[in-house]
Amino acid sequence: MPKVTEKVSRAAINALVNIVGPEWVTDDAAITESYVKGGEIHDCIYQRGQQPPGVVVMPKNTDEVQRIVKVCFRYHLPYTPIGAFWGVHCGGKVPFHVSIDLSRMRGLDWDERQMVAIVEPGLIHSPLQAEAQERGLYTMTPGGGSQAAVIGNMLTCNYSPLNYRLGLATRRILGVEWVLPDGEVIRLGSLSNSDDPFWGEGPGPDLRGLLRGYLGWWGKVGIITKMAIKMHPLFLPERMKPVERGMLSTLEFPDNRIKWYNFRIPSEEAMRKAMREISRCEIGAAVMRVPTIWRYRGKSTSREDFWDKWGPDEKKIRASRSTSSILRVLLIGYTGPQQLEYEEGILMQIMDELGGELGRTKQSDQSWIKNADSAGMWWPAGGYVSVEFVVETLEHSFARGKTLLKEKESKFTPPLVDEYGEEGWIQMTDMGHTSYFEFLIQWDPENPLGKYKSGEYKAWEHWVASQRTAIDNGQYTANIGSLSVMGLTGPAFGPNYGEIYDKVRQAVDPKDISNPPLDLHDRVIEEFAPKWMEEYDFKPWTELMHGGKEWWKVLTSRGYKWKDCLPEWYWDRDDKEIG
Amino acid sequence: MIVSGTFELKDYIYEMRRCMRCASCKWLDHIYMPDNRFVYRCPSYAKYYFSKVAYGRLKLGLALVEDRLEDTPGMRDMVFQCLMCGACDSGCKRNLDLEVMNSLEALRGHLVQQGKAPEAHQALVDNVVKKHNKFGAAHNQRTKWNPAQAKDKSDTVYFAGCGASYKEQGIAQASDKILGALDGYMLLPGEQCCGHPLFALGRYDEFRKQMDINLAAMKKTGAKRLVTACAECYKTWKVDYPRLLKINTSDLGFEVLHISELVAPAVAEGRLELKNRLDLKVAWHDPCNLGRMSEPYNHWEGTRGKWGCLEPAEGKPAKQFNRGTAGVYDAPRDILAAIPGVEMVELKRHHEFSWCCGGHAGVPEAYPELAKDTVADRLEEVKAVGAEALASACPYCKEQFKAGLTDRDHQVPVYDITELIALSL
Repeated sequence: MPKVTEKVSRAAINALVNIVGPEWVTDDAAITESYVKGGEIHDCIYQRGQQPPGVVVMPKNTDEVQRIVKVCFRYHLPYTPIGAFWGVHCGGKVPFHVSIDLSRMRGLDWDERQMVAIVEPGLIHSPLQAEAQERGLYTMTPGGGSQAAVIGNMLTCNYSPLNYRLGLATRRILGVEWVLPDGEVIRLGSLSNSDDPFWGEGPGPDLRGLLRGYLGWWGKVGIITKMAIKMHPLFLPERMKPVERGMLSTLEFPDNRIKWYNFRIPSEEAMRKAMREISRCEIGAAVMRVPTIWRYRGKSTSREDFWDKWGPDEKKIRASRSTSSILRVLLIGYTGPQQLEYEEGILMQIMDELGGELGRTKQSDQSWIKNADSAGMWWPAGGYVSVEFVVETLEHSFARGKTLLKEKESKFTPPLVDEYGEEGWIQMTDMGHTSYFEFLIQWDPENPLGKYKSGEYKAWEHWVASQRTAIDNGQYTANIGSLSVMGLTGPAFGPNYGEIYDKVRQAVDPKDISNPPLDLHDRVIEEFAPKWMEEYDFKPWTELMHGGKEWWKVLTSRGYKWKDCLPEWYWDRDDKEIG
Repeated sequence: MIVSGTFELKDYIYEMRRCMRCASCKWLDHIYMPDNRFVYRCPSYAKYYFSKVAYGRLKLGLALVEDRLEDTPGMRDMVFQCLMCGACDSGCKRNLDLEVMNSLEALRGHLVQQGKAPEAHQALVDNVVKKHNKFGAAHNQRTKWNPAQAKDKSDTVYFAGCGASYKEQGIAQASDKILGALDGYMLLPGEQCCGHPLFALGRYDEFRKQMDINLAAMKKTGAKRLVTACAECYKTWKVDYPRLLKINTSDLGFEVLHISELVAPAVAEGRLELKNRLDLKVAWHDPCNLGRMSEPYNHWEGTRGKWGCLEPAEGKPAKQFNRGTAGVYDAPRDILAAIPGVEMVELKRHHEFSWCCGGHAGVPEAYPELAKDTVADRLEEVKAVGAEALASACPYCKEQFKAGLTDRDHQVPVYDITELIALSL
């Protein structure tokens, strides 16, 4: 079989070697092979287009990043920046790209007086949190997990239950150092006229807005090499102690300052009221409705153990859904034990009025504070994807959950894991002004499904179909990330974010070399919903994003055909409906 | 049918495909993450970066088994610049239960079969096969350490191993004193290398021969237990032999104990008194092969069913995963706590997160720069926790630490646990 990896020209590689030294550049396929996400189980659509890079380069500092980017600009080499490679978007999507692996840039500086951490792109969350707590500070660990790079995560999702109290994380971005796709370095906020990054705004327009959106960056507008992040004063006099090990390792809570509460709520209406009322009373650190499956996941000691418990409990779980669902609340005594006592009093009063029944829960943290076991989402079945994840209204969250559940259960369960009527994960954000909604599906990628060779295809189809329901039910949202497949960004749906984005892209990345995407979205639509395009006058995503498929032109000019953009194994499959 | 612990790369396709690069094989457990200095669990990644860590090696293995990749100039280094310390395996089993270590062992064997092992490994192999020890020393010098209290016959066989027999003889002598103070011991007649170096290098055929020799000798003694003070020997007898035999550790026919497992209960029950005071603030280094790598082996056969669940063959038990948390961790700590005057301090990375000493799996021979940087990183930890001495339970760890300390400003004495016990007796 032919090799997948393409070669970057020797001249370009030599130029990279001159910058970082031979030790930190490789085009050896034994190494580049693994610069794709792997598992075939992550974010299906992006995953499908991944290509091993032609070359990987590992800079040590901003100067080296800048020089590398200039080389890419000069040779017209597409590049993909990588922080910790947690996000699947770190995988390149064209066959001859350069992976700029920023893992060596793990720097972390502190301005304790201003409560600011200055981080580099290779730093992940758990060491940041560990060092913060040593200094009497803390930040939140996102749902993406402790292993996610701080900068990469701040620029994309950074969703966490603690967003309820702390607000959306992107608002905590202060001074930023940014290498543009042509190699120019710009500094935002107070960094623009001093070395002190304490302030996010600065002379001139505040360009942080370009970093805060959703669709398009993942490295699309360049590389952030330094970011100052506002931290919070730690609410505990001492660090929480780790206890247990392995799957059960956790941070023990001191009982008078931080506490979880699980309430069984008698109706959906009561659940909505409870979430609103807690927010209105301005109490709590996190407020959420967690899918039952994660509680089973949390108490299982192996995949086999999970299914031994989850399978037989179907009737019990379904029965409980008709009568109640679980509200999970975290209270923190930020100012002292009295605050916890006070907030607990209010919480209990709300629950009394709404019929909430207090259940048992462990008083420790396996997630959000120091750790977040996002990798564990692959555990129950081997395949997982978040079909949709948006910050919207609470009403939207509940409505969307019902729509997506109906679509999933009526057409796709099985093969997707049956969650016995689960309507998704809902958590309050911004002290209840907004709500975060996430709909997760799981499946067994190894399990043959009729005409589908693996479970993966069915999940892919489900993703597209579920987004079709957003159109049918008018449930689209300004948060366009998870709806990008349908290109729901055009004039028919309000502001044309795609067009706005493309103008920004053209301004900062005229050669379209910074993390160019492979335009699989169109192909998904062609396969699964050819009529939708006509019906809704959609412009293909690629057209919106890349005004005429510039990369397609580049590829063809270099002798590549469309199919060359996909790995060989893809075309060797029996089921070529997509192709 | 899935058979646990095979050495065929094709038997690990599921693990290699299902790895989704979460990097639990690279980072320390996040709950225990101490700071931004000691963040990694994988020494190979910390030294070389790129994807020289389990997820990268699994992807390489998958490409090889799917015949998508031919030989490349860097392939050998990609596979063998690894200490086979098992830290990645315990990390993966924090979340995904993939058999990472078994996959890496199979990958190593795959390259060995293709003649792609580092040349520097061959001398080690020859030494074990021809001279019966990894150093190439004369076999008749093996008991030169003077086993003064050894008996002709005992229920307890003391297996000294190559390290304590030839290099760190103080460990063998201390073991002699300790075992003499307990119920006595005998040596394994004609003791040869346990074969650990062969196993760690991916030379499984040669390893099997070495295993057969040792097992035959052990069987002949009729002893009830084999005791060793070497972590590598311990893991070999306790885990690797039964694995090759496709049996459980408990079915070996004799007990395999690290000497600390014999001493700790004896101290607790008052059968052994640690009376001499040693005023030391000691950092304890968990050897990989005493801790996370030495959980009892449980042979398993079955299939992978719906949702990827492992279903045991009819009449067989469910698979027991070795996640590294049930190694020998408490016994040496209990002993140190019982020695008057000793204050034990934990290093930043301990128990199943322990940072390898760097002296394993042919790395010092083929990639000395990796061995050197790895031990240096551990010694930085010793400094960071303010320890006055360092203790461990493996002659090769001790050798590594001594070598790592030679050109450093920060000097601390290095002890084996047997030496501290003997000093306190």
